[in-house]
Amino acid sequence: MKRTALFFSAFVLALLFMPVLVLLLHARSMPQLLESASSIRAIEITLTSGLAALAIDIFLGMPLAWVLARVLRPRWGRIWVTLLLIPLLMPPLVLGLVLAYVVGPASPFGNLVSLLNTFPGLVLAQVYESLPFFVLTAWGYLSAIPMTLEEDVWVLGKHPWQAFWFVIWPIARSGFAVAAAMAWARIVGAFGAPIIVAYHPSALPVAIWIQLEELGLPSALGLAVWLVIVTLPLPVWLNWRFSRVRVDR
Amino acid sequence: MFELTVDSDARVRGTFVLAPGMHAVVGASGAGKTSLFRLIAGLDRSHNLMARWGGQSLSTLPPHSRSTAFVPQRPSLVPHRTIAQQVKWVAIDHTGPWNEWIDILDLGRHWLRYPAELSGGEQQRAALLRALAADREILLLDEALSQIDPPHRLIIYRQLKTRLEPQRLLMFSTHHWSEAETFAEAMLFINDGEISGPVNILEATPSNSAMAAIMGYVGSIPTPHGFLLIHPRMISLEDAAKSGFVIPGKGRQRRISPTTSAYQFEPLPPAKGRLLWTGTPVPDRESFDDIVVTHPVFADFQFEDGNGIDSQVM
Repeated sequence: MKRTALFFSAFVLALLFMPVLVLLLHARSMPQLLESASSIRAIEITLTSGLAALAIDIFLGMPLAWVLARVLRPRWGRIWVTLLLIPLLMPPLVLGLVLAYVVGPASPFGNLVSLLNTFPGLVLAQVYESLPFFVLTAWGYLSAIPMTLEEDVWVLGKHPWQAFWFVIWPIARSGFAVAAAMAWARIVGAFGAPIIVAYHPSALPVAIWIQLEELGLPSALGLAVWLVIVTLPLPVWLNWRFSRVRVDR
Repeated sequence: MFELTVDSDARVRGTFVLAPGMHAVVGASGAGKTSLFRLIAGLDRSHNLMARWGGQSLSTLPPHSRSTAFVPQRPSLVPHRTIAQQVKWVAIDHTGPWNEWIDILDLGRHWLRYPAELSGGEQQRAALLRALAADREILLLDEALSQIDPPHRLIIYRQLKTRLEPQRLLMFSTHHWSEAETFAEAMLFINDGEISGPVNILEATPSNSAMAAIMGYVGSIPTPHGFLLIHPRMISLEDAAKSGFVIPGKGRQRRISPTTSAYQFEPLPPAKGRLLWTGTPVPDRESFDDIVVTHPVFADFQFEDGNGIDSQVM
């Protein structure tokens, strides 16, 4: 039984790592890419827009996940899950088309300030693609924290805010860290919405697409390796820093 | 004074007034003791709740603004903080004499440990210390010492009682009548959500079967004055016990340990049934003819004990 399970896990891991291996084998163009100004620019844009989008995700998503998990009645939870699944299921391309309409010159808002092909437009597209992932992941973690952890110190005269910082935050932050890692993966890989809303400035996924169209597969794969390299440290750090906290009692 | 009235739609119903002091909330498991404490602490809300302490209404205050500290029976410590961290955190702004309790509760050597490293009883002691450090006027202990071994539990109850300041209120729930009668001044009884009392412990007599069972009565005998409730401590087999209510019948004694005998007694008709109890051994009384109930308690309800010792003991 144990051997079968180990064999199965090894097989799944091999499947998962296959694309990475293939990528590395075909990434001979990597060093040259660093001499190209457009590649460097794409990396810069990915990191800056990505961090901005992640900050917005955290700013908007943390309070929402908190309210969904701790404030609303559990009975209504299912309704909210269903509502949140709708933006999650929206194909990124469709999301991009809608966003392009809303922030582009065709709409009253976009008529004033068009965000099409701007840095804020890119960030907006990334936020729309990633926010539902952040909220759903964080919500799942938060709702697993028993309500009694807080109640037991409220009844000793501790204000809910004090209870939050002393009792809940050390446990919840590991959930927020995983949610942020999920959102980050979604942000740096965002393609469908950004290609419609912000073809320029191009973040890496769109830059890879352009590279593929103009210079062919080997060059595009090299850029893809750079995508993995520059975006990996943040989720790795989040996991190392926040992954374990003692919750048994 | 602590006043409380709650009716319908809440899990407990009743009205009572308690003076400051140490009082017991007695009832069987599931009777509603925890529900009552959660209402007082503000964790459960009811539109029909009226609670006042010292003339000030508690009913609409959030839990952290009430003058209550509540210790539940289940583990309640913060799992990822050491005992020292969480007790000091709760004690901020309170310079009460809670420090002395570290020794009384024997928590010095666990001071820097996490709750998971402590046994159930040690966790309960730490939770009690944390509640004392909160320094609230009303302390609610919901079977909060249940996992502590009986000798230590008695010491802790005794210390709680002697150190209780006169203007404060301590309510503890228990289904051990001996704890209530040893340490409480008054008792509230809860049966199936119905709160009755308070009654002074010195004058506490059962008003229904549930209460009689918890208080250790073993049965009743119909008499012209009503039903005579029988408590093992009130039964005498000695001829010398002339004062009291004599019940004729047939009884047997069997030693079950050096300090205890199991007794069985069948009263003569018209009384029916059989009384079973355990008590101090009486020499040369393997069988006896009648019993004397030395301090008769009469009730208007018949009581047949469901919790008496099993007849197989005989």
